[in-house]
Amino acid sequence: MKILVADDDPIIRKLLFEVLTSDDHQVTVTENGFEALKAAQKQSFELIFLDVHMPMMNGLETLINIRNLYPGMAVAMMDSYPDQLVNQAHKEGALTCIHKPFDLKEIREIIKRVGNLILKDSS
Amino acid sequence: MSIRFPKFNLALKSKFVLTISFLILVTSAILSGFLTERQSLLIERELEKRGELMARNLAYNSEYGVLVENKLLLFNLMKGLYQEEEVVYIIIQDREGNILADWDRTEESHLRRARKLSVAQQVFKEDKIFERHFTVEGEEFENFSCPIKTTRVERSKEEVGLILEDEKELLTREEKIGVAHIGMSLQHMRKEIADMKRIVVLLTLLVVVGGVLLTIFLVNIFIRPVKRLVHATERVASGDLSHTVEVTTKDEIGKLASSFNRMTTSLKQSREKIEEYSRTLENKVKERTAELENALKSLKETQAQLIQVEKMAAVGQLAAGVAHELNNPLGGILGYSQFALEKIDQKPIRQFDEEDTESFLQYLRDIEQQTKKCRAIIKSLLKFSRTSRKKEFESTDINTVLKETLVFVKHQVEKNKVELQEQLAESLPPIDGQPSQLQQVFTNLILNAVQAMPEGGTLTINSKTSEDLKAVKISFTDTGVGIPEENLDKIFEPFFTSKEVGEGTGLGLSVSYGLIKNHGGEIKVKSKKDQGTTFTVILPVSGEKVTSESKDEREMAISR
Repeated sequence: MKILVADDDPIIRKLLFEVLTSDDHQVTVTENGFEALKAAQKQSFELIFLDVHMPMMNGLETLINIRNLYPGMAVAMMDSYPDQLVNQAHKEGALTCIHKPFDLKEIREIIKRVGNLILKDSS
Repeated sequence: MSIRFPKFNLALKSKFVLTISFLILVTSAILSGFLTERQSLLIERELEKRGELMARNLAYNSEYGVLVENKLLLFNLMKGLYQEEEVVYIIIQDREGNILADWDRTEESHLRRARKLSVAQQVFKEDKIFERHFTVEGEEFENFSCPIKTTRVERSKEEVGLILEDEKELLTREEKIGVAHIGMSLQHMRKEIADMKRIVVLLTLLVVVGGVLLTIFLVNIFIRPVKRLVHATERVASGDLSHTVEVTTKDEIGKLASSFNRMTTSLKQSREKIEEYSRTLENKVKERTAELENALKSLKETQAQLIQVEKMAAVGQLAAGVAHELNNPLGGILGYSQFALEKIDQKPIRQFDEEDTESFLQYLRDIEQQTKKCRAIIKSLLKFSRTSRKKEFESTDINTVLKETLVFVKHQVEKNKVELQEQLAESLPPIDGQPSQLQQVFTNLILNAVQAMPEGGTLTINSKTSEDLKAVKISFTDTGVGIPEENLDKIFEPFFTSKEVGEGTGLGLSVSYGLIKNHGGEIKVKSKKDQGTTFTVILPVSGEKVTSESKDEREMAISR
C-alpha cells in the first residue's frame, strides 16, 4: 500500500517509516500539511497517517483538503492529547484516531482495515 | 467716560465728625441766610414806615403855615425832625411848586442844590403820599412826598352870616395847597443791615464751632467702645484668645461685644481641643504605622502566593504542550521498543547479521535518546513549577531561558497558527536573575501574544544587547488585535483583563511586571489597535542598572 505520513516530530516520522517499510509498504514522510498535500498531488496514496497538532496547517484542515481532493484516500488521525479537533475530524470523514504513544499493533490494525475497504471497493 | 473718585481712608470718627459738622454748617448757613434776609426786609420796611409817618405828620402840621405863608412856622416844624438822623433834607412847597421852606443836613451847597432839584423840580401831582427812590451824586435817598391839604367848607352865598346848627349839612372839600418832602438817607439803613449781618455771621460761626466741638466730644464717647472692640479683635487675631471686651452699653455695639466675647471663648475651646487631638493623633499615627507595616508584610506574602498561582495557571495552559512534548518521544520509545521485540520474534538474536545488529542497536539508541528527551522536558517543567523561595540570583543567559520557554510554548503557538520568528542575538551578556521567574514572564508574554491573534499571525521574538551595552532587550511582537490607547497604562494592573469571565485571571501581566521589576528591569509596551503589540523586557547586564533610554520612539514607559 502507498502510505503517506505527516507529522512534525522527526522520531515519529522515522518510526513509522521504518515500521511500515519493513511491512513492505511504500512510505512517504512529510513534515506538515502543505508538504503532505504536495506529495498527494504527485502520487496517489491509499492511506495517510495525519498528526492533528502541526504548525501552520493543522491536521483538521489538511484532512478537509484531502477529503475534497482525494476522497479515495483513507485518513488516520494521530493526537498527543484529547482535543476537540479530533471530534471534528471524525465528522469530516477521518477513518479513525489513534493516541500517542501508540502500540505498533494499532498501526497495523488500521492498515488491515484500509486493506479490507479497498478490497470491498474493488469487488 | 467714567469718573473715578479717589478713595479716602477715613476713620469712623472722622466720618461721623465730618458729616455732622457739614450738616451743622449747611443748616446754620441756610438759617442765617434766611434770617438776615428777613431782618433786612424788616429794617427797610421800618424805614419806609417812619418816613411815611414823618411826612404825613409834617404835611398835616404844615397846613396852617402854608395857608398863611408863615415860613417861620414851617421852619420850627422842621426843627423837630432834625433829630432824626436819617432825615437828610426837608422841603415844603406850595401849590405852584415854589419852595416855601427847606432844610438840608449837608453843608455843601452843590449837594443841596442837586437834591432840591431832584425833588422839587416838578409840580407834585399826586394826591396821596408818594415814595421815590433816587440817587444824587452817589448817595441814595428814599424820598417821601406827602400833599398838604386843607379843608374848605363850602358855603353858599345865602348861608353866609347864618349860625349853623347842623354841621352835617356842611359840605366840605379837600384842597391841595402844597407838598411836604422828607428825604431819608439809606446809608444809615445800610449800616444797620451790615451790622446785623455781621452779628448773625458771628453767631452762626459760634454755633458751628461750638457744634463741631460738641460733636467731636460726643462722637469720641460713642466711638470708644467701637475702638475697644477693634483693639480686641486685633489682639485675638494675633493669637491672644484670653482677651475679652468690656461690655458697657446695651446698644448694638454692646451686643457686638458680647458676641465677640462668646466667639473668642469658643475659639479658645476649639483651639484647646485641636491641641488635644493633635496629641492623640500622633499616637494614632504610630499605631496605624505599625498596622500598615503588618499589612505590608502579609501583602508581600500574598504577592509571593500570587506569583505561584499565576505560574500554576500558566502550567495549566501549558499542559497540552507538555503532553504533546512528552507523548511524541514516548511514541518513539514505545514504537521502537515494540519494533525491536518484533525483530527478535522474527529472528533470534543469535542469528543476527551485521545489518540486523546495527539496526537493532539503532533502535536502542533511539529509545535512549527519546527517554533522555523526556527527562529533560520533565526536569524543565519541574524547574519552572517549583516555588522559588530562593532570593538569590544567578548568572543567566537570556537566550537559553527563551529557548527553554519555547519548548513548552511552541505547541500552543503552532496550534493557534502563529508563525514563530526567532531573532535571537548570537550571544548575549549574562544577567543576574532567576531563570524560572524569567521563564514565567516570557511564557506569559508569549501566551498573551498568541491570544491576541485568534486568526493566526506572526510572533517575533527578538533578543539583543542595548546600544549602551548595559542592558539586554527582549521584545515580543505580535500582529494581533492591539491594545486600545486608553488601556495601555492599565494593563499592568492586577485583575485588569479584556478577556471573558473564566478565560484569564488578569494576573499575568501584573505578576510579570513585578518579577521584572524585581530583577531591576522594566517592561515597556507599544501598541496600535488592529496592528499589533510589542512588549519589550529590559534587564540590566550583570553589574549594571537599567535606565530609561531616551532614544526609544513613541514607547510608553510604565515605570511605577
